[in-house]
Amino acid sequence: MNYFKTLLLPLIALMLILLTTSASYAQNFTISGHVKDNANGEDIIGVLVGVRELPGKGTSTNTYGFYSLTLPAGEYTVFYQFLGYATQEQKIKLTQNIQLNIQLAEEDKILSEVVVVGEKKDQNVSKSEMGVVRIDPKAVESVPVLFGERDIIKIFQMTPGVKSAGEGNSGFYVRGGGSDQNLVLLDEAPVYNASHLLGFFSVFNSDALKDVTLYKGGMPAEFGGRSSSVMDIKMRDGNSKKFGATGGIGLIASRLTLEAPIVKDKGSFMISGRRTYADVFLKASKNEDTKKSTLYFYDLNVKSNYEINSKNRLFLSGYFGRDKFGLADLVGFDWGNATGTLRWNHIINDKLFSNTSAIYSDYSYRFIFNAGGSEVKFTSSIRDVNLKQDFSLFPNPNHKVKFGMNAIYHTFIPGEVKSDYVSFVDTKLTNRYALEAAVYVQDDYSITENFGINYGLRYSWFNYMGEGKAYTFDDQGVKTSETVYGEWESIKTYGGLEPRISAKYQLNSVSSVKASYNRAYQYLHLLSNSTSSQPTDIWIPSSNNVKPQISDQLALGYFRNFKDNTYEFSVEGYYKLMANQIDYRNGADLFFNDEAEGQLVFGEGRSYGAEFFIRKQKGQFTGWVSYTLSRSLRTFEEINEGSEYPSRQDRIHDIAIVLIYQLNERVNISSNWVYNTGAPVTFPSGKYEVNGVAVPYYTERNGYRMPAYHRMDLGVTVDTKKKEGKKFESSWNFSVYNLYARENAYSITFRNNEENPDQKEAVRTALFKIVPSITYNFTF
Amino acid sequence: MNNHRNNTLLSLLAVSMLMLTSCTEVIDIELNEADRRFVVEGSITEGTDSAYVLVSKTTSFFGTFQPEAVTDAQVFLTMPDGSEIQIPHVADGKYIVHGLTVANASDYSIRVEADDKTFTGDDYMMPSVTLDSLEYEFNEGLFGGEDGYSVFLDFQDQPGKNFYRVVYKVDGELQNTADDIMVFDDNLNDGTLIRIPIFTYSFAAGDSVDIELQSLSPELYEFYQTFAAVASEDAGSPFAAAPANPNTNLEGGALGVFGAYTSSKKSIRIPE
Repeated sequence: MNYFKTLLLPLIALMLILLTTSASYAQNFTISGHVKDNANGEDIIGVLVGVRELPGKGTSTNTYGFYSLTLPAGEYTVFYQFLGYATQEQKIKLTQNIQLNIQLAEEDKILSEVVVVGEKKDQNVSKSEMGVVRIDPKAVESVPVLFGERDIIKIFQMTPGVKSAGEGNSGFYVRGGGSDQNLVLLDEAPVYNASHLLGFFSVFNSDALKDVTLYKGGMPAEFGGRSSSVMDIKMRDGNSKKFGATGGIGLIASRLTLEAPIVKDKGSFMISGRRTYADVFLKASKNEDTKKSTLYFYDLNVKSNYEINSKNRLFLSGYFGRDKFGLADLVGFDWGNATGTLRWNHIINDKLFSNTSAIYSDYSYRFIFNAGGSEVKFTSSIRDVNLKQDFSLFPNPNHKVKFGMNAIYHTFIPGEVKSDYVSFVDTKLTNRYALEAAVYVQDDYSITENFGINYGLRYSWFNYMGEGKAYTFDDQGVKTSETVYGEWESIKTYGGLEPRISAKYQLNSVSSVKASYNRAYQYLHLLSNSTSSQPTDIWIPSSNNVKPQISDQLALGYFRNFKDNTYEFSVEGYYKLMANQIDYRNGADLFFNDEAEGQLVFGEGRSYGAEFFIRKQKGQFTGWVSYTLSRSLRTFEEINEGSEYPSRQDRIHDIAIVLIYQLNERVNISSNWVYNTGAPVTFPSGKYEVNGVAVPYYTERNGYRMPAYHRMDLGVTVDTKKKEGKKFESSWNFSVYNLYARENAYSITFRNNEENPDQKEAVRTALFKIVPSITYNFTF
Repeated sequence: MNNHRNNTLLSLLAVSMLMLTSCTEVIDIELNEADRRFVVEGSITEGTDSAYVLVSKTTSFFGTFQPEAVTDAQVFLTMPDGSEIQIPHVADGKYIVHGLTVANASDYSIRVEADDKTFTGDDYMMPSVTLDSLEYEFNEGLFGGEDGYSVFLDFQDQPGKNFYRVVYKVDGELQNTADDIMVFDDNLNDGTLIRIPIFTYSFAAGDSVDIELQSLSPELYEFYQTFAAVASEDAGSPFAAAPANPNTNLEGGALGVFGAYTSSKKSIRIPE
């Protein structure tokens, strides 16, 4: 904690000085309140609150739609502006503190271009943040995806710097980092395994989501715990005005969301479910075993909120999802996440907003084998209990300060096997426990009209502790000692400062340059010895053997808007260093191994790249073009004789084009095309025989590449005619995935030729040649 | 929704489901030709009086030729008492010596000299294991699969870590494809009476099956485990680890392994 005292405290002091000096010279009053959608009462996040008479001064609403703006006494025209909504203006006479709650109306989708916009929608250029992509799930709902199953993560994979972990896979890599280095938060709760069905679908049901923001770099100090990125997903609060239902019937799954006020304009709830029904087809089979088999997943999102009074509000949200797989009575396998978040918003005063959260997160999987009447059961899980306190302080229009702290108690249950089988000894791996804590402070500071800086500091601390056993290993991974620790007894602690800073300099009204640096610590590690993510992948804490992963990222960017902010253009370059990266010894046995830490090897990584992005967010015709030129490299003493090699995240060229066209009031057409360099792969350079079995001889890890990947998708959404005076609306979505039937290599493996077993041949497997799908959606 | 539309929807579903099926195709890829590397495969077994070493070199991956035999190597065996015996070349890179007295719970090592290179390998021969009995059991075919028989092995595991390999012949023919490599440990049943099926093979009525249970050193087990992963056609699939050469107990840069192991054999016939 020494670091904390020597660096963090003076920083806080400095901030306080800055805040008080700039706020002390005139009589000031505060306008504060909430901004909501006038149709459903949802809080709107990130609404720009500005003042016509004071250009360049302003603030924006926080996660809960709250804003606070402190100005010298006077008469002002305050405006509230958010993409997709009609801008609202309020004339105010500021002679005392004012509370002003605003309801914004959504713009008509076809008229949006015609609506006269009096001011610049230039947040792309004017905000200090960079390396941030924010997508409104509603805005991209017509973009075609695999099986027509809307998936926000697959949309992010088409933005610069974000790559798919594989064909149809919902795992993603950000700026050369691994998929286990992304912090995925659902209403603040970390989701440990965010995919269903071996990765083809993410666990996020778009119907239940309000807003998704991905921080690729310039990570704000309020977030921490993973080294590559933060995906911050917010669930919808539920309609607080009237009852509503939304749903859909698709090829793979059906969805239904219900929402309603608890007390009108005071509280609401939302419940959203999704379930696949591939197993319904199994039931139709004549084979008894097939009939008894199961294969499905479901997601259930629930949320409710209640405004106790104008200063206090409670939110309760939860997510429960599970995959279930069973072969007759023989094998059962299921896995899934459960999360819960209880939040209390408290407005301490006009300028200080507080949120307290209690968060629970659990991921578990279970195997059941049945053989001859005996059962073998295997279970494994990770569980978090997390307390978080955040404050937002709005001292004056030039500063937006956030500070807070959190503490997480992690419980790792790597595995337990039980059986009534004769020659079976029930076995349990050592449970592991850890405490992860952090304090942070950050300030978004507009120094001049053109120069802004968002700076912050996070101190994180990690304590790996008993009760349990800790092992030491020699260079070969052979166990050398074993120590038993008591409950709460510290085994190993780590801690470190994580500076986060981004700055912008606005060159003129349409362009700016930005720079950022951030450092992030990751104390949890995912053991996954395969390219694709698997439900059985295990999370482990940093320990006496495993050091925290640390990433340092430096980024520079140029931002320019064209045609009165209709087109947003940006180019960002980044360089990232990654320390204490993890790989595995050859033949590593990670499954059910108490000494799995001995199977790990440690190295370094670096990645760098340039990201080009043009986006049009308004009008009949929207979409974006994204191009990333990047490398991702690793160095391990044990791999390739210590020389640097391309990691599985390395894709060099990555292009995505997404076009959405609103043909008329009822028809929306969208199309996307993606291209990327094939992922690095290890192929043999010879063969030999042992015991008469011919095997490949390898010379180099990732020395080859898969063929380039490209694909085009097309989607059409047709709204059915709305009946006069009826609330019911519906639409059909038709889509084709991989329109030109490209046989993209999912894997290339080698086998013996059938006719001539001495001859080896290469076999390419392509997964989805052309996948048409149809979905019916409704809302009332 | 009327019936006609229902049918259209259903057939659309069916078509879509068909499209799901992945497709595989044999393709041409160009691989770098690596320098030829030496391969040494040596073994010594309790219950025989001989030691066997095969010396060869790697060949081009897509080539059809048999492995290149090395016939001019100097091969030596060191016995537990420290005495060194030269193993003569017999034919096709095979080096064989007879008339040895082989005892278990002892260390053996080999040394191979070829092309100014020296390769050595040590292995510990575990105490012997006894295969008590074999039994077969009928399995109904699942998911339209064929019916078949499992063969179970029963034996007493000794306390402490033990590693096993099972080698089997069907009607006298050794089954040695990549899928037949069966190794296991006693992590979950240390010191118990182990009953384990041959999980790599489904036997048929009328098969006569010869089974050999080998007790391996940890290093030899690790070799077979990593060897099985490389030999498998799954090597390189997204569900497998990045492929690498098997972990060997040989020093000096040769591929392959030197194994000293004990074994126990039994036979069973599955009636027609």
